[in-house]
Amino acid sequence: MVTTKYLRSKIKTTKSLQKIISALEFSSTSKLQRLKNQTLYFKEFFYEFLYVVEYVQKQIDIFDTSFQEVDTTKKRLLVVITSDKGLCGGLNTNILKRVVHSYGTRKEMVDIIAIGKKGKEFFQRNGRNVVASLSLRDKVSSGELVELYEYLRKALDQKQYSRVKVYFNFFKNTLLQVPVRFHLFPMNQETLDEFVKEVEMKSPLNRRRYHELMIEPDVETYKQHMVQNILENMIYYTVLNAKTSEHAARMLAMKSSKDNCVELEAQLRRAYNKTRQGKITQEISEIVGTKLALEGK
Amino acid sequence: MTPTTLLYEGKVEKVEIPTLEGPIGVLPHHAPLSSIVSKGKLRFIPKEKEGQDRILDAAAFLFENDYTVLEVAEGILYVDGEELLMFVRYGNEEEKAEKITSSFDQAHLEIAKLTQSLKIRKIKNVGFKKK
Repeated sequence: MVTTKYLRSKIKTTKSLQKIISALEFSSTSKLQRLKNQTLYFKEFFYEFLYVVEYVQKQIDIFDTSFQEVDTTKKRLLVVITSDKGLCGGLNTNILKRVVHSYGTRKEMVDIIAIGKKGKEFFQRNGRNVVASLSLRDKVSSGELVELYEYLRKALDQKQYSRVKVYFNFFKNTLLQVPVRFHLFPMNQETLDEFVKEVEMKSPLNRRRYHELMIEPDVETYKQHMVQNILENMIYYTVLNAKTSEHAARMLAMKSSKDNCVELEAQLRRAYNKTRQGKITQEISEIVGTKLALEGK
Repeated sequence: MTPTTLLYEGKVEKVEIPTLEGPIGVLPHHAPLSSIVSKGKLRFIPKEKEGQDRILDAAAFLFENDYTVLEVAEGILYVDGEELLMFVRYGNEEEKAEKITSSFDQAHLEIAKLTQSLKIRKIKNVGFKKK
């Protein structure tokens, strides 16, 4: 039979656990709010940027550059964005499953850049080739991604990869985060349109009057810089989305575990009271029994 | 722009932008142009003194004589005579300004930053009312 002492300690543990979970929930809620604003602002920034891309695209084909020429026999590069910490439901599992589903048997032809500790640990455990890893603070700034940009620029300049894909969790709303994959490189109008569609950004409207632009310093350099800029902005947007998703998922996970904790505590309290009452009843009946026995004597 | 991400809003007379081929000056009704911005200093002259009151994050700016200076890094510049847009990738380690928008017809310049992590610098020659 369960002792009251054991139940008391269980109740105490559940209570302290509840406090920790609430704290985690609150911190995730505030971080989520900040990241949501940041994402919203960057969306506006990116939208304006796509305006200009579309405008310039009318005059020259930005994507038709030697930087974009690839050797199809080369490896592929996957940029997988996961979280650094756990406790965020099935968020990381979903994204990692998707990678395994696509590249489960083709380990040697794929290089991986893991953003977030969870992804890094998973791929290293599975014997994948993790070429670079990065962990980001909750306050994402593009300065933190400079190393990744430099690595990508160098690798793509040296034609090391035939294709680059990005896997991340897209933040649809607080309740829904969807694992998304898109082609980052080589880039063309279709892949850009696909990205715009995947991340639910409206296609830019042509509100400007068309003027022929002077392109400086020369068309080829301009094209190369433009493609790199698009690439970097896309990565930054995905990282922001992944971070927002992480906090939204953690907030939800913590909310449900807090509810479970409250329920468990109530159950334990009921069991404790029952045991305590049972003990008292037993003691009383023992006393009464003894008294009766003594009187009968 | 959201208030937290707007750095400057006010009238300007002239903007000097660092590009790959050296700094270029942009005046109202400049010929349509698109170029690559390189790391350097963006300098502009506010048209009216009230313009300086609209500096929303003074820590990002330096003030040199008539010019208001902002550190920017590589990015894309777009001018079409009516509007000037700068998509700046990132500042150097200390300064991170991300977007500069200016519209000459409306005599209006907006400088918005993407990240909040701007390091506060010493501001000499403070000639404006700090908010």
